[in-house]
Amino acid sequence: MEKIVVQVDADLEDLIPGYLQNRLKDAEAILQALENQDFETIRVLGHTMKGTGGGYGFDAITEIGRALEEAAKSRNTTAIHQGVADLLDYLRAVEVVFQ
Amino acid sequence: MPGKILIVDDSVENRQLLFRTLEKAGYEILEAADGKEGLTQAVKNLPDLILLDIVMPELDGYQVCEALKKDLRTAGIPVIFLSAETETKDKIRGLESGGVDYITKPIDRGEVLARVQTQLNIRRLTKELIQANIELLKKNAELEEANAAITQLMHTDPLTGLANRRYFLEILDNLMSLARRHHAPLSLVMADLDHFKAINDACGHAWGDQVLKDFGVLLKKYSRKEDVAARFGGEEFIVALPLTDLPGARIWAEKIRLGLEGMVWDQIKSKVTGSFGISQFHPEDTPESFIERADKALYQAKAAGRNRVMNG
Repeated sequence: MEKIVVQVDADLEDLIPGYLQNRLKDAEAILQALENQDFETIRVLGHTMKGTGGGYGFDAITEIGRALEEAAKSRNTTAIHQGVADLLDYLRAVEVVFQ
Repeated sequence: MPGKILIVDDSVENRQLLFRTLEKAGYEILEAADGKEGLTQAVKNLPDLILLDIVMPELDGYQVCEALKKDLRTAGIPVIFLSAETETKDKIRGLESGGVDYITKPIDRGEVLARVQTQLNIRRLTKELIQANIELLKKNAELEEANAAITQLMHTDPLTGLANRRYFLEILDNLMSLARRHHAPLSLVMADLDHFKAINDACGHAWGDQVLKDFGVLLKKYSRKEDVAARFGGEEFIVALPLTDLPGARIWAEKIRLGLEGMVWDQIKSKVTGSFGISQFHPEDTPESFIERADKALYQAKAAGRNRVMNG
């Protein structure tokens, strides 16, 4: 799999592992919420992801978050699955370079 | 000193990011995880600036901002909204609820720093402006006091505290205008202390001054608010009595004459008496003619034996 190289500010280095780990947890939480038809939880998770991603340096996470938020608003299960898949792919592929 | 910033955001990751961004720039950072805690912290610590998330449970950012503006203690603290709500209507709402700026998430760290710095500069300048205004107001008050004191000095005879001659003539002009316009009576009483030079020679100027002072007190005692008593010359006094006709002025002058006669001073063996000349205003009078009539009457009182009131 091709790596996605992302540049992140050096002073955030110690926060990155935790941040990415939390996104993994988000993915699990979203799938769990889907089983319960809990679209509100998914919307909030997507919204937060949208707000933080780019700030840490992960623009793609902001985009995925935006998509998940919209999908949850329209209760679009398919789109939500896609969003989770995109997120997992991204987390597997991302490689952080600190500057 | 860069300043104290309060971050109010329910997302710990957002707070962390902002914390790192601002701390590097030397700011002191406070954090709150919800609106209620944010309000508590704001009141307690009075930060220089607040970064406020909008979407939060229970109290949202708009409500927090409105509460901050309602509280006099925190109303002056600039609030910058930080939100993933990016529509213009949200920005407008934020600015209308009292925010000074609105930054969309995900943040650009450099942009946040720049906007924070701008608002802190504005706040600092605003504080300086307010302080300068307070100083100005104080100075103005001092100036007004000084002006009043100078005016007082210009208008007052220092020994007796009565109006001085110059000021009396100013006021007399106005009183005559009023009397003329309203066809109202106005009278003058001119008073001169009898044998005053002899008192000064015999008892010394200190006692002479005391007599003058005490006579001034006597005049004031019997004067109503609208009357104007002045020291006209060395031992000469003049009083304007608005809404008083000649008989009324005579009665008044008699009171003064008797009052003076009854006064006693330690070192002054004899009674001190005064002579009085009175005149009533005629519409065709000038200040000179009005005063001259009282003066002539005063002269007659002296000639007739002193210690009496003569009509002019």
